[in-house]
Amino acid sequence: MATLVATCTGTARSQPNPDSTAGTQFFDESVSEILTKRCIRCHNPSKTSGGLDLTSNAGLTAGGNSGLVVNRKAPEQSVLIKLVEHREKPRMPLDQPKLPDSDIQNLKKWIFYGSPYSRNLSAPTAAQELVKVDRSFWSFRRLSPVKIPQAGESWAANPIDAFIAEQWKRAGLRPPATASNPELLRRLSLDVLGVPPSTEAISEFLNNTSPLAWENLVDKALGTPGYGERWGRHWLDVVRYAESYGFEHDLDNANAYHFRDFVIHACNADQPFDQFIRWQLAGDELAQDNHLARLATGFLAAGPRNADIAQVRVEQERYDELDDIARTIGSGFLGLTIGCARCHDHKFDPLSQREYYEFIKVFDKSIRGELDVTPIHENHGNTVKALVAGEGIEPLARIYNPGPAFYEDTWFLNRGDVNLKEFTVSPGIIGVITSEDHADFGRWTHTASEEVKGHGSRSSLANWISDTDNGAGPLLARVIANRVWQFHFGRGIVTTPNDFGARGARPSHPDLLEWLAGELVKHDWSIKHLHRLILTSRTYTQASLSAPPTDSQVELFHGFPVRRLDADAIHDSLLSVTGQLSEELYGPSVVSMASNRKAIYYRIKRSQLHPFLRLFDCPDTLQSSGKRPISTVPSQALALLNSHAVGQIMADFATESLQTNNNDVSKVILQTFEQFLSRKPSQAELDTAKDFVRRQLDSYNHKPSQRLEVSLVTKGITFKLQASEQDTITSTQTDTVQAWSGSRSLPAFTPLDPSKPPRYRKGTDAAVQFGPNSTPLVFPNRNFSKIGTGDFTFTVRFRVPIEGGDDNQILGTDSYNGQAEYSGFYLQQIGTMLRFTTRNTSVGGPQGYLDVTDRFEKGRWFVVTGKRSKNILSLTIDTDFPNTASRAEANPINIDNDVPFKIGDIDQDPSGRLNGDISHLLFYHRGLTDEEIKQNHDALRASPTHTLIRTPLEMAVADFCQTLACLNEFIYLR
Amino acid sequence: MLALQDLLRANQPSTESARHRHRPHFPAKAKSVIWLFMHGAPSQIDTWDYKPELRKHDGQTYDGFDQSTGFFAGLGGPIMKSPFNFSQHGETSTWVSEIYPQLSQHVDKLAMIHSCYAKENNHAPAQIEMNTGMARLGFPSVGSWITYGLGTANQNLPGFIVMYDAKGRGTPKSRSISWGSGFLPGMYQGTPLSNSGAPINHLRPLPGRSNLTQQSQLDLLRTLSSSNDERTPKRPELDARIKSFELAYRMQIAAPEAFELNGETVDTHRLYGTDNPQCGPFAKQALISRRLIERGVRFVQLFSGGFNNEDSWDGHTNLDKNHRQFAGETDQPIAALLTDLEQRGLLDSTLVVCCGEFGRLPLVQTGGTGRDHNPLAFTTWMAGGGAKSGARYGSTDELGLRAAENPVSINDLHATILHLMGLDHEQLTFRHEGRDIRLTDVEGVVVNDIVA
Repeated sequence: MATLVATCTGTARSQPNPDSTAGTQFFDESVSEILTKRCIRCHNPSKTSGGLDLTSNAGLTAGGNSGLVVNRKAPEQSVLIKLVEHREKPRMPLDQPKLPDSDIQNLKKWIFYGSPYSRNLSAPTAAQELVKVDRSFWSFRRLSPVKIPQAGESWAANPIDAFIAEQWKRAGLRPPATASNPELLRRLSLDVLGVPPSTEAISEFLNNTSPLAWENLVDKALGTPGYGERWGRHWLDVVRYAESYGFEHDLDNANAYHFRDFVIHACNADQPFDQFIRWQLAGDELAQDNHLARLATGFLAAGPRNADIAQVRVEQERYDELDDIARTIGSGFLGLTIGCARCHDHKFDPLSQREYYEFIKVFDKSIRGELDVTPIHENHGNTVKALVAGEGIEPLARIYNPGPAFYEDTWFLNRGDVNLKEFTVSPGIIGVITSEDHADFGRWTHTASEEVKGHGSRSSLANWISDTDNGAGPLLARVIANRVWQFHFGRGIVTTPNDFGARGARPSHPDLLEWLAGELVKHDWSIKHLHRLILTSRTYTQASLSAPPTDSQVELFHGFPVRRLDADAIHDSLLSVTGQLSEELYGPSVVSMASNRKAIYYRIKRSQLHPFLRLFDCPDTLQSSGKRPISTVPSQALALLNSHAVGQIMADFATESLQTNNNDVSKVILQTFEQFLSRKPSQAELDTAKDFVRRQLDSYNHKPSQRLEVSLVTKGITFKLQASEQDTITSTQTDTVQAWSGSRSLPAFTPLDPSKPPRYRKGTDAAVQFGPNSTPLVFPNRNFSKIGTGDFTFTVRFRVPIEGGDDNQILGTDSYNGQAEYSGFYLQQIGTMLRFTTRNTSVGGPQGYLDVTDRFEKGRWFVVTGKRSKNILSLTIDTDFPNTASRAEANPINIDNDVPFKIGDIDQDPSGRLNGDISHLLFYHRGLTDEEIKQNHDALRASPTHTLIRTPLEMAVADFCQTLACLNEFIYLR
Repeated sequence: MLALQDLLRANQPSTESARHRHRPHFPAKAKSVIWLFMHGAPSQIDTWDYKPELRKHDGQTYDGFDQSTGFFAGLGGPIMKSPFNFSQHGETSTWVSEIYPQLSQHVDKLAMIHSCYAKENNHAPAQIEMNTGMARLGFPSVGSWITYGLGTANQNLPGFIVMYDAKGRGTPKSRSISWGSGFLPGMYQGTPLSNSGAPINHLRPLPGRSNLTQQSQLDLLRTLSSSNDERTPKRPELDARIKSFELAYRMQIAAPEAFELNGETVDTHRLYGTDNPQCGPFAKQALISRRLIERGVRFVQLFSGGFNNEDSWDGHTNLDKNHRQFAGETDQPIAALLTDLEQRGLLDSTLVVCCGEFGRLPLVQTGGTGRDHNPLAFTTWMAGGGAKSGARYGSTDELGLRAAENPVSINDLHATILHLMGLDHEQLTFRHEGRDIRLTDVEGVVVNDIVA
């Protein structure tokens, strides 16, 4: 090319016309981008560096302060060319890498053409004024060794402190005092485990005089299974984990939780972080025989998904799915906003739109599906269905317009529009974080074994993302090291944890972050190694400043940051300090607070986020969340003061504590202080608390207790059976059933065995009792169960005694009698699970169960609503944290049988009949709305057997405990 | 008694990402919004966009119609005239469908945009698009943006309140996404009121508890917080949290009053039709809306119509019956709301917006007498709050299939609403994942022709 230009300049007889089409076309194709990207930021009408404006032909030909810059007759001798070739100074582009030779040749050729402009270029906007970045940008560089500064020698415990102290020295700050031992213990426990320390742990630590007491304590905390739940939760935020798909139907996937368990397990096992990432991208290919690796691919399956779309949107939806994956990997793993390049080249980072499509191409044959996998909590090799992703698996169903689950080709879409396909792409990686000689995707190839149906491109990507020599490994390490730091201190070294690009924040302590990332890689990507370094640093053990810190102190981590506990920690702490928190690990998600499990085990439904957790800023699960906001609003106070769940926890604790302490209020107060706040009360506090309890006691002694009055939904009710405190129960609105009364009077329902009618118990626990000596009730009118494909809803309040069996049939009509064909619907309890199904085997097709594996508890009343509406089944259990599971029938199920509706039984088979109590049963031949269901649950929960009203003393003590949990000392970590 | 500044501070999030001034970018008349969302998508050509040509071509095939326009590809039948009669009203001689006998008396107040169009053609995505500007999940709703931009003027009530279908037919199909705060802090999300029991969660003391017993809990909280003074670090957010408990206590008392309609006069009840079985439930919500904006709530959104197709404006099978029913449920209450706001001098400072998520096809949907979805054209009207009375903007083609003249995108609509609230849609941004994201993404042009 150089020769060509030389030749051209040498034979300058017939110069092309500056306005020729060829010239302007050449400008459009080969020059405008160079000028736009590399020159006009400083050379435009509003900013004419050197007096030069390169946005128009007029500006160019006018030249700059030092004269003309182009010489058409001798392009080689043009000032512009001399500067960009670095033959003269100032070398252009200023302070940036030299232009590639090809660009320089194009500029010469363009000058030869007469430097025509097809249009004036627009000066960059303020936003584009940002630093342009490339491989030399701080976060995109290879990892490099860092020199540990000579600072804080007398104070520092490890290099972290040296990095921190160095900046303190510069800012004239002296190291603050070290936090007291009780403070440290509480800090460590809340930070690492999400709950305050137990009173035993406190006394053990305070009595330990070993010089290694703190180190041992750190190791112990990191070795506690609760660590995996706490830190796993952080990761779940990052990967937008949820168990339903969002949009109109927000269908549940009850088998999604295995991914959550994988994450908890990996954290506890300190799985090398590079492998942890690799498995989430391609565990099925990389570790084919390892069920944990397969579960890890649940990451790819956890995003939103619209199951009800118009035909013309099916392909767009597929691109949306891939976008979700690329976006989450970008922000979550790499701190790169890859998603910004979907419609155009990234505005700020060197990510091209083409790279975006090449990146999503990697995943284009990978779909979500359910496979039989051994779950983590299973030791016997049994398998269950788990939501995973990969190639060649059976796709999940859509409700309408099924369409293909994936497309063979991925197209480059102009403006991201599926109707503007330009060309198909091959898989690729992001160039700017890859060594130049490794840009070819083929270099990362992994040969998938024959048993694996995948085409190996995900493993190639995994190889790339974790490679620190030539791939994205350095960035991966920096991003996670920053997250670890952030979760310990409430603030990252980079305060934009999901954006390490040009628009992201710059690190406050670049060398510290580089050192941490290097330590991580050097120590086999051990996250626990980073924890240990941080937790045993004096930066971590410093006391909080008593005065509000300045901005500079905040940025320099001077004084331990005071911060509010996150939603999960508040929830878990409330249960933990009252001795009610279940330590059980893993398993199906729960929907009821009564399960006493940690918040991480609540089923996450995108349209019904846990209201308590959401109130305290848990993420919306729709996109990767790198940092939870912290809000302070009165509705949080209302939830702590007035929510039934918190009230219940406190009432239970008060009752038990009074019992343990023989109603000695002083002892109860002492115990509460120690368990809630990890310290003893002062004498003044003790007196105040005793006064308070006395005052509350007076109020409750003199005031009759109130009850909530919420009425049941009666619109469209078919029947209502209600056991009440009186002997006779009446029904208000009934078409067919007149009453559900005592054992002798059952006009519409008849006992299956008339000699063994169910017994009726009156009083505060009024219910109809079913069991070995009281047979199920049968509704003889067959017309009732002719539901067909229509809508219906039932709400039942029931319980199974502690000594009851593990298979209880609550209600239903099902013609199963051991034969092949049967039809019906029913509600059943199996162990800890509740199952609601509609089925008709004669029409073929898959039989689906809607299972809520909420560790169903014996001995406690449950209010449960089952609904079939528009062929969608839903099951709602309790309403404190309303949780509704739902799934679509595979095809409309015609409930068509010739057997009666039963209570205490479901089918024609005698096994599994209910051994338990039913106090209320409502049935509607329509689908109730969510609000109506909530209303019914509220009404039934408020009934006498399920109440917060205890003795006046219990109520007074519960009020005290609750107030203690509202203190900043409880809610904040310092 | 707490000073106003304390109250305001107590309701601010204390994150650095949300350190944000609540004030308009420029002076504006509108202080609050009442957004009437006709869920399920009313047909523009059977309500506000009169198309006499439909009658002429009734029963004819629509040549060149793209069958993938609606939701049910291939079910677009022949052209169908409107089942309703239209007549002219007001000084603007505006043609209005007979299903709006009362609202038609207010046409001179309304600024109408006939040329709105959406990108999505199914309910949930389109509702998400209408409410957040994006059909994908994760973006803040208009109400969240406005509350984020302007804050709330009453600390005892949420700044953004949502009431969905008054007859208990369920949430919108887009569910809580329609009032979600996306990447904005959670405090800006809409608070949906339940149809039963307490209007706001946890507003009532626990069973057996009273205001008196709670008051002493607050006293205890205050005493223990200060007795512990020397061991507690001083932080503004810690003070704010203690105050938030006092605020919460006052909310318990103030909030129920806002929802209590007994204090309204018989005439007002009659005006709205609160005891009319057909429109009463929506009328009560409309009346509550007025009470809420009177008390400083920034953004109120009402949904007419519930979750299932037939329970909303989604007239696929029998448009005549469907639209008569839903117009019957809303006509009087909306007309009354406009009258009431005007009489109280609140209309100038309240922007009333009425729209669905898209429009409907001028064709019959095969198999019935209804119409399928049409994202290509629908009408949105606004009243009060700086919207130009009697303005008519944009138009559709002769059969009302497609926005023809001056098409207005949802981004444009949002830009206009923000503008009327004194907010510049290009300046109202939130830094998320490295970008200063706007409600209008990278588009949106204010429809100045409807701005007074």
